[in-house]
Amino acid sequence: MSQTRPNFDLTGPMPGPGVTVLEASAGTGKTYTLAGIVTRLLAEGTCRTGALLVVTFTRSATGELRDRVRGRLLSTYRDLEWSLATGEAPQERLARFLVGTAGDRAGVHRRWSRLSEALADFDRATITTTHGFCHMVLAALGVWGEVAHGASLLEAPEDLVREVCDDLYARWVVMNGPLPFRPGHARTVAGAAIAHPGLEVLPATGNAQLSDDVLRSRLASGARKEMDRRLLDANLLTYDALIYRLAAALEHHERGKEAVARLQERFETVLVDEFQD
Amino acid sequence: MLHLHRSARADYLAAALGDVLAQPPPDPLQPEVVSVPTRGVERWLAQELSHRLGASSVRGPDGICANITWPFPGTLVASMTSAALREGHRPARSQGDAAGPWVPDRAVWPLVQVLDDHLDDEPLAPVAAHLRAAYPSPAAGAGPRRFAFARHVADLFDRYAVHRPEMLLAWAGGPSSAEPEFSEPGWAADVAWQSYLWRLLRRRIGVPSPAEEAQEALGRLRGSPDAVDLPGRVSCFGLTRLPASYLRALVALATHREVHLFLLHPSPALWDRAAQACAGLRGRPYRSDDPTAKLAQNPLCRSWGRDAREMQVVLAAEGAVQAQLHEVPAPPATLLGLLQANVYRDSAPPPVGAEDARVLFEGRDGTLTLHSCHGRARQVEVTREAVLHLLAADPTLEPRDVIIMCPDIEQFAPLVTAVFETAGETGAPAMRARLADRSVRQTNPMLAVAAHLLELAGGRATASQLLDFASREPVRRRFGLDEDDLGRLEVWLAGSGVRWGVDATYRQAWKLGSIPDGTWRAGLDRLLLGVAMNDEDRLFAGVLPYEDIGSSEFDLVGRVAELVNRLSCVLEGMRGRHDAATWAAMLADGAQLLACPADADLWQTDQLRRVLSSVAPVDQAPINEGPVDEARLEEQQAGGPLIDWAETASLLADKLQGRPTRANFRTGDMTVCTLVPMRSVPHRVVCLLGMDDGVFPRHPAVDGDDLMLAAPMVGDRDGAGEDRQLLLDALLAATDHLVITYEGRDQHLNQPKPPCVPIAELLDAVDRTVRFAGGLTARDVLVVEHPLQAFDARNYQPGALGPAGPWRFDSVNFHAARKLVKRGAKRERRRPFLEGRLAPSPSGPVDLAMLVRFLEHPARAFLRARLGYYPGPATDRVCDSLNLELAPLERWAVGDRLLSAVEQGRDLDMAIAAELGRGLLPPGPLAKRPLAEVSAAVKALLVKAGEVPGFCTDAHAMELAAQLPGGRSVMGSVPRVAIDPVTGRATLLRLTYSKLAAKHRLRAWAQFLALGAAFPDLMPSAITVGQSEGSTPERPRARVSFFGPLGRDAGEVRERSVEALGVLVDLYDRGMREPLPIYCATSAAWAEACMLPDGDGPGPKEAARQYWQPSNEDFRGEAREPEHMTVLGTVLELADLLEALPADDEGGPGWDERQETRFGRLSLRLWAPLLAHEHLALR
Repeated sequence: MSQTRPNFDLTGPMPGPGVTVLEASAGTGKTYTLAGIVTRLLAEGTCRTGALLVVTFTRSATGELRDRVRGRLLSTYRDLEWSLATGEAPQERLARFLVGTAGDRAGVHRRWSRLSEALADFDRATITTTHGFCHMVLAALGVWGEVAHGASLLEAPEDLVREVCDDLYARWVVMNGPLPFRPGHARTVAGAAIAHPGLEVLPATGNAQLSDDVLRSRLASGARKEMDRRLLDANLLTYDALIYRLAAALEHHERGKEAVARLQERFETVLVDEFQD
Repeated sequence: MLHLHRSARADYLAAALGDVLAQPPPDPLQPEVVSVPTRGVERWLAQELSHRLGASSVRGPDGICANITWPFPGTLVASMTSAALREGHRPARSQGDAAGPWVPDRAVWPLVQVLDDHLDDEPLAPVAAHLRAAYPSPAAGAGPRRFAFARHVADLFDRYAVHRPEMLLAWAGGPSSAEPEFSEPGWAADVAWQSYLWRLLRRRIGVPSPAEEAQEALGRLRGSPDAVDLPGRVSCFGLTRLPASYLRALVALATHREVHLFLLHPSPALWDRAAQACAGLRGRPYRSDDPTAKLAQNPLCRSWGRDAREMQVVLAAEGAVQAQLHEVPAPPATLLGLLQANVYRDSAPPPVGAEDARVLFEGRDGTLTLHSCHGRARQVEVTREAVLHLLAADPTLEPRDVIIMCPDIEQFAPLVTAVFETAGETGAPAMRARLADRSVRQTNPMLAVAAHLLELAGGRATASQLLDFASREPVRRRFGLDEDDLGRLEVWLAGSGVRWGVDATYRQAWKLGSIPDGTWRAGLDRLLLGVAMNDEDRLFAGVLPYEDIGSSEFDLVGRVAELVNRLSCVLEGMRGRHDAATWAAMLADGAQLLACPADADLWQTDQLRRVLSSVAPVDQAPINEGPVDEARLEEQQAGGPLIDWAETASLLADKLQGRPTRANFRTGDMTVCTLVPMRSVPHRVVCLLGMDDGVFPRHPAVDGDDLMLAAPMVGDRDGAGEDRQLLLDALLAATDHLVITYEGRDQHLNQPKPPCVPIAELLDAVDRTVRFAGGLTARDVLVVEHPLQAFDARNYQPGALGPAGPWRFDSVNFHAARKLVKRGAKRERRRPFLEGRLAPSPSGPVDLAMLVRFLEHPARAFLRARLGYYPGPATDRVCDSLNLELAPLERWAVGDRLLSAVEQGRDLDMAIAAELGRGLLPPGPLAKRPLAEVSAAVKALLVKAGEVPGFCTDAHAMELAAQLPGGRSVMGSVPRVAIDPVTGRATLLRLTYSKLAAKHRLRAWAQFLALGAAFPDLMPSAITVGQSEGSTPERPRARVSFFGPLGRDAGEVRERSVEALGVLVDLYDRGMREPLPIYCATSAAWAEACMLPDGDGPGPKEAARQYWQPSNEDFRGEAREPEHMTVLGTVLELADLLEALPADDEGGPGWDERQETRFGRLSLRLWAPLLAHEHLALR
């Protein structure tokens, strides 16, 4: 399979438009390459700093990535500056490429000054986690999105899930008599249903007989509904809800188009690190 | 005439202001007007001016600063505008006076009504869809929660009025005059709904908006000097950003008056160049067309100085270009000074090339230092030490010369208080740090109570929330609760089974109204009944009285009942939706019902009322355009739109936020404050605390509804840009030293974390300006890596963390560090719990109960009796959720209570009813099954016990006193003794729901011996019945321990009883001097295995290990009991337990000298006589 895929070269043609996947084993320098791509896009003027989005998975990875990308911008900036001062080609491969393809000295200067702006404007580049990205995008959508102002993130929803499930269990038992499974099992079932809001709960609970499976299924859908209601009541969002809300806003039959247009206008290039996670 | 003054430092601006004010005005009684951006600046400026105005010499001590009013720029402009329109109005002092119905606080209410009335209008379709998707009301029948959205839009409209008045003027013109500027696709739709909504609001409010008024007001200001009642001289101090609309008003005011603007601008050189670039500028440009955007040469000016640079453009666009420069003297040739000088001159770093033109530094010169720490607490500690070093090195430096600025003060405030104020206790010099800018919630506990009430209203009213609320300072004061009372309350809440909910009705919101168990009401009923009747477990009107309430506690129950009742009423009242005024009144009244401030702090109540009343709508537009339905009618009768608790919470959140205030700023002590504009007044030492990645700078504003962000103009506000400008200001404000701390390593994982981007930029700027000896970089030289712990030896090694001497000043951590170094890498052998035995305790009579407790758990008895120490978690903890299943221990407790009720001659059914009333069982039907199982086991056990020969239920307690040789005696009572009417012999009886275990046998043995020693004539025997291992409800099995009479006649019984009891008392005496290595079940197993013939069973070690560290994870094992871990220092292996050898006095007659270990010898000493006499049987 790997023969059919070209090797990526930082000094070759840039990927896109569309989706490109870079695949490499651990320690082969994915993040290094990513920082290189950002540097090249910004130096060549293909992308504005503000229209760049880099997403990674954990908060600590975000900090490191930000430091690496900035470091690479800075070193390339200095290489170009050195080249402008001395008239020689830099040693480093990307910098040498940027000098070599710039045409004349004025071209190198243009690239150097773009990097200088990018460094001064570095905050405008969005380097964040998936959840941070969703949060930001939902805010950026304004009325075209579906998140209330002032909603706060519930980082660990486990307690609320348990509360919801226990309430449903107690209510059922008090009104209808004992359930054929214990509270611990009920929590597992309800927790799974809440954690995967996209999946359908089976069997469907129409007028079916109250078999164990039907009871479980009822509990699962009931827990989902109740969880949503309580989150809403307390003006809370979970991480999962964040992602599903964004997807829902973008796929909305009437307003989705407006939302997608907003996003496309805002971001020209998106780089995702560690997508396997 | 408009005068501009500029300088790179605020103190030179203050001097310039002083020179202006030194010219006396024509009317000496008319107040000067000096507009200031924050209250902190007001205080600082007043202090500075008092050194200049009327002083006999420059900075003399005898000056005075008086008769000055200090409005904020926004207030000044708003009052000017309204006064100009209403002719000759005095300038207002507060925002509220001058502000009309258009301030967001007030405009939000008509906006809510507009939304309610017009949500279905076609142009508002996107808003309707958004509200219904994102804010549906959780309550059935109510409309969407629109308050938060309305507030957001009201804020937007307010910002438009200040920053984009032209746009609003166009909107006011009607739908036909569409915006020329915002016609881009993607924003047209937003312009459509916002302009439509704005026009609706304009109609509803019925008063021209500030943008509309401004035109006319400006005309009048230009036309006549008498348009406003202001003095002939008006000053605006310390501007870093000025909206164009404010500037226009000031320019208009300058037509007939002297208006002085004092601007903080970091670089005179950049100003001059920008002035050329701005020449011929017509109107304020968009940010993308900013002619000065690329002018800055210095990397710090370029990256950090945008706000200051853009302000010049805004001024130039209004024609204000000439500014008088107040020069700052050249900074010293230190590293910090060099950076500052480069900013002043806006000089580019030396070019990179063959020749290195950078200034050479040998190393750190102490003027700029960065400290990389683990976490926040260490950052505060390091800051304290850094300040102490500076104070120690320079005797002229005073604490008031130091300012500590922190981006997130709410997070750091408790740490600052803790670290600085407790410094004295650790042997370091104490320092006073004044925290400015705290939120009112922190400074006014009454407001915190109100906020807490609102939080409760949105929750389930759990037991721990009740406890938290009761422990608030003002609440405790109101109900006279001290620390012990709160402890008692916690025990009562846990003991009466309170979990959550005020009462069953309250639970209806969760559709659990059918479950009354575990509510506050249920618990309170039990407590109150417990005061009225001290009957044992008997239900009264379905309620079980709470046992164990002493008469001294009646008063406390009363106070608790009052607290719970009042709180319940307040919470009941807050359910559902109310208008804002009602919410405010309920919160204020509730807080006053439930809390009171200290006598000296009565202002807190007034402030509470004031803050709360400011959230209620002031005026209501009477117009009602929409269809009248029932909800609308209700709202009309009420004082405005109805909102629920969540909307109220967002309404209040804003009011309770921290704001820069005058309080605690520059009081003479060291100031700790937030990083906000113009906080950077010059100080000799500036510390920046908490410059963590992800916290600083703030993220750029993201708001999809903000039309200004679609096409930002020069001078628009932006969080990240503002933060960077603050950093530049702070850099220039530090005259001697700049100290920066940040989280350089994760405090849990020790992973290195990069500094935040601006700090990295600072280090880059240093590297491009100077070079360090040895080719080191700024990161190598300027950043000090601090160890994780305060007691790390590096803190005390001279020179290890920077200064020549040790880094830390305190002695406590020094001793700890020295211990650590001494111990070195080698692990020292664990120190024994005690170095030797304690002195014997007074040898009076031995309490039998104490003796029994000692035998059951020697270590615990020793710790409690001699040291008063109770290790391990407290047992009475409140729980916030209903119990759905009984845990094994809870199940045991139910069985134990049922059994002892029956043993005491009560009816089992009554005991079961009492159990149901206790509130500790799962609710309703969920209790049925476990209760049935437990009572079946109880019945089975009773049957089994009845089959034991000699067992009966007719038994009584007996008091006894047994004399021992040597004058010792054992006194106490045994609970259940049956006397055979025929033979006259006594039998000591015990029935336990537990599995019969070593501790039950020991208890029976001690009581049996005491009885025999006291009443040998009764020829006592003892029967103890418990469940057996492997007993099931279907096949119950009992285990019986039996001690027959110790002799054939009374004499023999007495002699043997006294002898064996003497052994127990001897062990007790030894065990009160040190924790003896006797561990109840482990020792029993060891002794039993030793008594077996050789080769039988697995051997003593294996047998004992089953109880010490069982392989089955379900059982804890005695090794993990907190008392044993305390006296042994850790979870000890059995082999380690066997290392200790017997003491010299643990041998001789009566001691089994075949036992070579101390554990074995003592275990046998206790157990051998018992085992020799006991008969065990299974039934």
